[in-house]
Amino acid sequence: MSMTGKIFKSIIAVAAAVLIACFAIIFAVLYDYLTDRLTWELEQQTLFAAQGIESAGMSYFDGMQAQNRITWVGEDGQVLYDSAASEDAMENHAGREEIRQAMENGTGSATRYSDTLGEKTVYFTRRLSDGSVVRVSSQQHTVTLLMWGMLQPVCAVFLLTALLSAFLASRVAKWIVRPINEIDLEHPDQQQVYEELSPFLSKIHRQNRLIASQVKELTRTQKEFSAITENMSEGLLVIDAKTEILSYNAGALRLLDVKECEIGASVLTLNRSEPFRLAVEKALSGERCEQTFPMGNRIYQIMASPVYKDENVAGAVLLLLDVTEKEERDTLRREFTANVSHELKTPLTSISGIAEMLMSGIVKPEDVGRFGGDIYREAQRLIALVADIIKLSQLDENSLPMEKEPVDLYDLAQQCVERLSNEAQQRGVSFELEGDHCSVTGVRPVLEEMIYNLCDNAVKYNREGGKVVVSVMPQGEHVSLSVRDTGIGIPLEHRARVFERFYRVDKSHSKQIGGTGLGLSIVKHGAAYHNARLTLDSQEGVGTTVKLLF
Amino acid sequence: MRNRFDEQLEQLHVELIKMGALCEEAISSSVKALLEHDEQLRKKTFDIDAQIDQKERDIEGMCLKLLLSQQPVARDLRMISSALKMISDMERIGDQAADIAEITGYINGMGGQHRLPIDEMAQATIKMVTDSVQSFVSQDLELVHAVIAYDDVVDGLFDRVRAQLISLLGADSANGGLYLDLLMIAKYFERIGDHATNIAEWVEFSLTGVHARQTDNKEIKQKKES
Repeated sequence: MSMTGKIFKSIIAVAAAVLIACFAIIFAVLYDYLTDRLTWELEQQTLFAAQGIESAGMSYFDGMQAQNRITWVGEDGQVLYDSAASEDAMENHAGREEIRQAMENGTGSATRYSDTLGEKTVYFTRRLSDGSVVRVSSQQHTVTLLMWGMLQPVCAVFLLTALLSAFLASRVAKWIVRPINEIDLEHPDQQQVYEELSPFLSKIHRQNRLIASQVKELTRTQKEFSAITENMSEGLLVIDAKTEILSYNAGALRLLDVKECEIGASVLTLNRSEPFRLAVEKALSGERCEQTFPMGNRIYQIMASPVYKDENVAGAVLLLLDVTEKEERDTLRREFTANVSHELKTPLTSISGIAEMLMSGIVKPEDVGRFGGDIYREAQRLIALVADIIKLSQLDENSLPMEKEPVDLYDLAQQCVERLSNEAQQRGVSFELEGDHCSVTGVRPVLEEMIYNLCDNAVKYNREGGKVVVSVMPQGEHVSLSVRDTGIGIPLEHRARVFERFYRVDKSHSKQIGGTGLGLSIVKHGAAYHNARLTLDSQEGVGTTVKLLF
Repeated sequence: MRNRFDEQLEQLHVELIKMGALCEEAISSSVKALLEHDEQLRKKTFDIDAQIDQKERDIEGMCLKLLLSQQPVARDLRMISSALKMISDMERIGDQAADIAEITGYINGMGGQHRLPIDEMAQATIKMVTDSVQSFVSQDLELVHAVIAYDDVVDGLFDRVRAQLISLLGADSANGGLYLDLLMIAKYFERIGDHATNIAEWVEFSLTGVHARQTDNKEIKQKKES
């Protein structure tokens, strides 16, 4: 309902009420007045007529110009004269009320309503001296008829009032509303409008402040949330039940390798690989799902969890993780376990085989010593292997039982060279030690093991008449230890992997050369433990140089 | 009413992406089965092909329902009609991937013929299928043109494989069956490339309202007239 309509209604109601009241009052007053006047006129006329008839008799009526009907009734009720009708046709009037009154009291009056015309006739009578009665009558319109006649002008006035009210209403409405519309709702407290509006305005003011504080709070939480999600390395996607993206973070776009993403687009536009689709579908069917899938050379994990709303799945949260390293570590661990079992099994098989032969007595007594030696060597290999694994795992776990102390690398290298001189001689390899006494802080047995392993490799993988040069020298603030040989070298494709556990360049000759396959791995972990840099330089057929920079 | 229509269109889009992804899987698993002689993947190809067929029927039903009940015009109409065309190309891709898997079963992988550039051809075809689906997903006209242009690479590779097979057949007719099977596989790859091109062309049509073949026809007409 419009304001103009409401104002129009009230204006027209007031106008109509006033109009009707006015007409009623005017009518009542005027009608009374008119009736009075008529009565008075009739009375006068009757008087005149009576006097005229008294003096002139029947001749009075001759040439009389009368507006009203005049009747002269004889003493017996016989009509002697009537100005409007023929006397002979008229009945005896002695019974009429006004005639009777006049005969009895001298004067009389009566009012009779006609049935059909809505008119009334007013009669006045006066008794003459001879006993006859003169009657003057006049017809008067009734109030209803008068009202009916006035209906048209009244309607016209009412119509005019309505038009005027409509016009006024719209003007008034505008005039009232304009200042309200001009209120600055941002600052309703500073407004000067209608007094009646001040509670309304102060309420708006309060609500404005409430909204502002809530918006501020919302923006803050939103900012907090996006700061968290944008800075996490994991990808986060929130989707609805129709797989449309509701929210995402930069990590998700980076991991899925898409430049931009549209809110409302399907999440399958970002990635449509089978595990991804499966995860999305499962999550949307209300089941938590984890999948790994490769993308490029990385491996990602997707964790999809359904989001419930009123016990229905309303969407899902997808979390993407880069699990490449974890997967790689898992692969390494699996390989290591497989390798260890294999390496442990080989000597045990030999021992078990020989023992079986000894047990069944098929070995000649003179061969027992030789077989015993075999068992001893295999057992020694097992012990060395297990010892190496223990060392490695200690280095891995950083749980060395020894304290760090200053160690002279030159002395250590010298000891190693001496320990290996016998074997070197057998293989026709010559040792050379150069440099100065340099001290580093470290765990002596580990450092010794590292240098020993390097020198041992340099001897083992050398050629007949080759040379091993161990040099220890200060290099700026650091100490460098390098072991250079003139051996077979390491082919390029194997260089990255020789420090892996059990990795062998030439798998077919490992048994001849011996060793556990863990030597360089121990060097690598030992170097990491001592924060030393390990570099490998090799040329196939010329030799290998391993350098440690402490 | 309108919102519901938009929702249905979005759903159609998603279903098409899923079907495209199934096509990618079908061809990559059949290629892996062929090159790495993986029996499990070979069987999986048939499974995916069945899924693709089911998806085609589903999407076809969706499209017809949309056409009848919503009477779309302009862009929406193009989207739905090109979807109808696209799914038949996708369905063919699935069938041909299954065909490759079937032949792979007869010849035990590559039958020892690893010097043929079938490997290269397979990778090129996978790239075409992936790119055509991606062009639909990201509504990328540039990628569409790249896919259409890349078809020549696959065609060129097919010619190379064919020429090498002819010379092999001449030198070693005892293994003729194997060479013919390999030629069939190469032909399937070439056909898949063509279907990927078709998909790309329909993506272009749904985006621009101009289909490559229409313009070709116009050019031919103009040439005839002049």
